[in-house]
Amino acid sequence: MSTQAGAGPIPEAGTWPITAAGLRLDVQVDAGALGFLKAFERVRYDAQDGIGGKLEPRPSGPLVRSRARLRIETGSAAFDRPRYAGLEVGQYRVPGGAFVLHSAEPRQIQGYWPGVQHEELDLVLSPQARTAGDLLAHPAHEAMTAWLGSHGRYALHAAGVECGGRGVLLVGEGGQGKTTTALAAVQRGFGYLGDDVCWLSFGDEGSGPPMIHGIYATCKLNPDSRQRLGLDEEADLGTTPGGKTVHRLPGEVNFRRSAPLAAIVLVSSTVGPVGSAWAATPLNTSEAIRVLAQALAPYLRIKGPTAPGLSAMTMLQRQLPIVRLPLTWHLDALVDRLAALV
Amino acid sequence: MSPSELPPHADTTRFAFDTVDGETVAIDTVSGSLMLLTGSGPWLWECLAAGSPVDEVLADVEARFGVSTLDAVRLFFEQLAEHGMLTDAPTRISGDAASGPAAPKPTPPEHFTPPALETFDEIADIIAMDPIHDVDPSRGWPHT
Repeated sequence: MSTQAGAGPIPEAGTWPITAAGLRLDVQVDAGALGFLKAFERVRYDAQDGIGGKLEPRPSGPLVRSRARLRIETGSAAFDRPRYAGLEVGQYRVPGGAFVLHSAEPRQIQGYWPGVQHEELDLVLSPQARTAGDLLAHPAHEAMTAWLGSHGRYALHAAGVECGGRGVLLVGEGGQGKTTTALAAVQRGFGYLGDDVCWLSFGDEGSGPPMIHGIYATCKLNPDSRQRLGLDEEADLGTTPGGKTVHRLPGEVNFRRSAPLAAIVLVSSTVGPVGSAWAATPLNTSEAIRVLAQALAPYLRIKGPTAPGLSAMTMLQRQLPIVRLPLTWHLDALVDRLAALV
Repeated sequence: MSPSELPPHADTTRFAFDTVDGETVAIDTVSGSLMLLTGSGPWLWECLAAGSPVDEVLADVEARFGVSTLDAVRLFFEQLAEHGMLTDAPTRISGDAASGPAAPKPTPPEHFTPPALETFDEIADIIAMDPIHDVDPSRGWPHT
């Protein structure tokens, strides 16, 4: 698998509509923010197809036509917009569901402003922020979390892959092997939903079977994983403060926008030999709660520890197997075990 | 702490909860702490959440399962109180139902098993480390 980008012509400044977890989002960029469109290039909205992309399964239920716009701006004047006047560094929730983040290193503002006719998301970037690997990998992640969370989509700290039309969430603490496992699976024919960020929904009424959604067509890799997966050393999009390289998803990778969720897998860094002794084992309730809480942390932090977040956890507990899968560097065997779960 | 010193009611305004396979998961909507209630704990909590005060539940437990079970139940109620899950004023049942009259009393278990409370602070720790400020629009952005 190479890291050569192959997803189409370089876009121009303007408005690029995308499908985000079944919702339409118009992404508007200025000339200085074109690089941020790369993360969205696999979810381009096509009105003719309804959700864009001829090979993608439709998410459950009709496409919700939310009128939302994400404006990505790099001019300094955007920091002085009246709604952000007097805004100090920090994170804020405003009654009615609005959310604002103002960070200093690098300087950026993210905002989500609900509205009756239109919903607005902002990503305002300083010159330093334009080359930040984390931002290029997951543009406006916090604002997207707040927006999608208001529409029954829960942001997850998880990798997601798909096999035979069924999705698997890979969860676990940072550095345990989620991305490596996901990309190993993708190299062997799985569909890709995300390496660090996915979204979860439960149907249009919020009570149906779980679905996972992918938005960002990027991945972040540490040097060891990059080497084991045989990927190029050069980062396409930058590096993160933690030293990971950020890559645009290669064109030959089968990106999936959505899939019914079939299992949740805790990737365990306890590396063992190939064999039945290292089969997937179910988690007990305490372990499952811990794992689900960590996975839902992005949503719970930004939207607050509320009843809907708890409901998402317990619905997953009720409906899905949650298992521990020890890692092995025999990647073929690891992926076979993952496929068997699905 | 004697039962008469405990706050008598479940704080279902602050604690959302749900029961899966006989175990109850609750979330503190203020701090983000998660609680897992097991054994007879789910039934005891749901009795409180349905509107029965602590002393009434204790009397019910004694009548059904005998006086030997009371120490374990008192200890459980003390643990609930330590985690802020009990309150002086009655609150409506939250979780799935947030309005209307008090919920019917839950079905008691066939056998008594000591109730247990386990807490998980991962979310609470994340929230505490990286707090999000709630803003009053009429007062503008706060000085953090």
